[in-house]
Order: sequence, then C-alpha cells, then structure tokens
Amino acid sequence: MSSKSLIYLALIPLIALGIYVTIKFKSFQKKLVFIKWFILFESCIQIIGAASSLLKVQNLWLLTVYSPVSTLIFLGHYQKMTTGFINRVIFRLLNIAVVIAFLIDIIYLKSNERFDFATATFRSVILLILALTTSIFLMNEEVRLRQKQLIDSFFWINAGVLVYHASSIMLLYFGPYIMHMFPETYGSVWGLHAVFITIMYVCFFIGLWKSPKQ
Amino acid sequence: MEEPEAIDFLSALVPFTIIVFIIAVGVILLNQQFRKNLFKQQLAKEELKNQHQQELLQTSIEVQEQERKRIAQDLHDELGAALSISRMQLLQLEGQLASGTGKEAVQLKQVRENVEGALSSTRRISHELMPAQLVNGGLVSMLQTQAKQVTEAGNVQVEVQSSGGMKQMPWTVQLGLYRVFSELLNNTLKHAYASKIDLQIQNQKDTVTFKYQDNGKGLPEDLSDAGLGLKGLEGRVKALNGELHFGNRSQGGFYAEIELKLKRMN
Repeated sequence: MSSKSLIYLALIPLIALGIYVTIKFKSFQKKLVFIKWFILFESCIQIIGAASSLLKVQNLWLLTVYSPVSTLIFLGHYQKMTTGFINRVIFRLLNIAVVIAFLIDIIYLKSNERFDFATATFRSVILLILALTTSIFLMNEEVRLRQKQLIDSFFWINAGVLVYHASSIMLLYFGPYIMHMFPETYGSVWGLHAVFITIMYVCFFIGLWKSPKQ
Repeated sequence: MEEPEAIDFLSALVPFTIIVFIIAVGVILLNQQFRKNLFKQQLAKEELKNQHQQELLQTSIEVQEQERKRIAQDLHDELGAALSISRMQLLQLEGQLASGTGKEAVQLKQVRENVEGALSSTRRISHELMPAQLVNGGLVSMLQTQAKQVTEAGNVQVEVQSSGGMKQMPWTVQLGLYRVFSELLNNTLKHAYASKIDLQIQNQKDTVTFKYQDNGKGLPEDLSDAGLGLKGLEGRVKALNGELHFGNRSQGGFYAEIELKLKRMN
C-alpha cells in the first residue's frame, strides 16, 4: 500500500468520527466539549486539505490556521479535565504563549509557504507535556474517584494525544535524517504520520464511545 | 563520506535531546503543581471530615443531655410524685392502725420505709441525671455545693475557686464542665486515695480555664483500663471545642486542665 493511499485512507476514520460526533453532539458530557469541537474542526481541515491536494492547490496555509486553533482547543480540553488540580493561570499563560508564537510565525516566518518546523515542535512540546502530566494525573486514586464517570474517556483521549504527538516529534526530528539516508522512504515517513494520526482518531472514538451520555 | 552523515544525525539528535529535556522539566513542574493542589484538597477534605465528626459528637452529647433532662424531669414529676403520694397515704394508714394489732402496723411501717427508700433513690437518680441546682443556680453554685458535701462526708477536702463571669457561660459549657468535674471527682474518690482536691475555674476574655488537681496516687502507668473514663472526658471536651491536658504532677497527684474559647463555640 503506498503512502499516498495511507494518507487518503486516514480520512475515513476521521470522517466516520466526525459523523458520529455530529449525530451525538448534544449527548456528550460538558467536559468533552473541546474534543467534540476539535474533531469537527479537524474533519473540516483534513477534507479541505485532501481536496486541495487532489486539485493540486497549495494547502500549507491550512497549517497556519490549524496549528494555533487545534492547540488552543486542546489547551481548553486539558484545562477542563484538570480543573482544581492545575491552576488556571498556567493555562492562561499557555494560551497567550500560543497566540504570540503563532502571530510571530505568521508575521515573520511566513509558514504558509513552507512546512513550519518550529511551530509544529512548539505545539507538540506543549501537548506532550500536558499529555504526560495527565497520564500521571489519571493514575492517582483520588482523581479516579472524582472523575469516575469520565476516567475511561479521559484516558483514551489522552492516550491518542500522547501517541500522535510523541510520534510527531520523532518524525519531525528523525524523519529528515531518515529521508536523507534513505530517499526511497520519503513517502513512508508521511505514511507513518497517517498511521499515527489514525491511531489518535481511533483513541478519540473509543474515548467518546465510552463516555456516559446525557 | 561518513562524516557528513554523522553530522546530520547529530543535528537531529541534539535538538531532539533538548526538546526531550524541556518536556521532562515541563512534566516535573506541572506534576509538582498537581501534587501540591491535590494535597491542599486532601487537607481541606480532612478538615471538613473532622468538623463533621465534631458536629456529630456535639449533637450526640446534646441529645444525650436532653434525654437525661427529660428522664430526670419525668422521674421527679411522675414517679417521685406517685411515691410521695403513696408515702403520705401509708403514713395516714399507719396513723389509723396505730391502735390496731402490732403486726399490721409493723408491716405497714416496712412498706412505708420501702417506699421512702424508693423515693429517695428516685430523687438521687433524678439529681444525678440532671441536678436541679445546676439548672437553677449555675455551675459555680453546684460545684461549691458538691465540694461541701464531699468535704463533710469523708476524708477529702475539696476547694473550689472561681473568677470571671461564670453566669455568662453558655448552658452547654456549664453542663459539660459539671460532668467533667463529676467524672474527675469520682475517679479521685475511687482510685486516688487523695486527701485534697483543688478546682480553679475562671472565665476571662471569653476563655474558660478549668484546673483540677489532687494529691493522690496519680495515674497508673498502664492506662488501658483506667483510660476509658478519661477518653470519655476527652470526647466531651472536644465536643465543647476545648483542649484537655492531663497527667501526673511533679509533686505527686493528678492534674487536668481544660481551656475553652467561648467565641469558637458561637
């Protein structure tokens, strides 16, 4: 199976997830609101991206929109999940840092013309810190008792974020080296990215499926 | 040819290592934050639990005292009254039978004496449940009366000193301190073989201090059985939001000190 097929095939679970979220939109618990919006946003971006790619239109500008918005959505999700345990001030500072970083990126680095390594790293670092801390947080007995209803959902969603962003960081840093050493693997790196993003979508689906419905 | 490849790998590895380090530091710092907040919440939960237990204890003691008061009242009003009437009727009958055969008069006298014994027991039980003098005269009056009774009855001299506004003390505090004194006095008379008991009680700036001491044997080293009464005292003082300290005096004998902040109670 070619990497391009993998990339297009990764759209299928995302579209299915998007349809599922749309149908069950109002029945999800309030604490999962950000994940719902992330999935809908991601679906739109990926569909537009795939359509642009098929029509051979430049679609890197989508990353300029996608990166800050998805980061802010995830920050909102983690803030909601860790309310009472991690101060709101930290999330406010992170939100400000994200907005400033992406503004600098748009104004000075002009990432809509090429893949922006710095902002992708920045995004992955923030989300990895949050995902790893949340993994420890979700193992605590006190937290498990308090979040009894949503513990499984939080676990799966967090697992998806952790797997995808950990693999992204690895691909960001070692991908160019691998592609340099083995030029025939150029597409495979992106194919791997598609596999990991599919894993993230599957984890999100399991997380939403396991959540108690209102 | 190998050197450029090594440099390329290093150029990927070095920033990757820095990124991993940043992520590790971030996770450690956030985790510290989380643990600190979790600890604060656990402390607050414990505080709430202790407060709830305290309230339950207070309510339990209040209910107990209310019940005692009710029973004392019923004993006095109903049983005491019925026995008093029976005694009077028996006295009348005795008077009528005074000229009759000696046997019936003697039997009647025995019945009257039994009734008088029952009446006396009723009054004693009622008094122990809820002393009328405590209700009417207040704590100091009750303590002084009790001290006088004990001093006159046996070989123990009991002295009570008080200062400050005793009548301003809430009823629950007066009753609680009376119960504490009764328990301590009982312990001293039963176990301590003391010849002197001193009690100082003062109420200054809404702080009530209660100091009890005797010159007896003091507490035994093994408190496992003897400690039950003292545990009850601790519970009672805790219900009043007070602190109890007790032990053996350096010059021999037993001491107990209680401090209550009346504002905390309100």
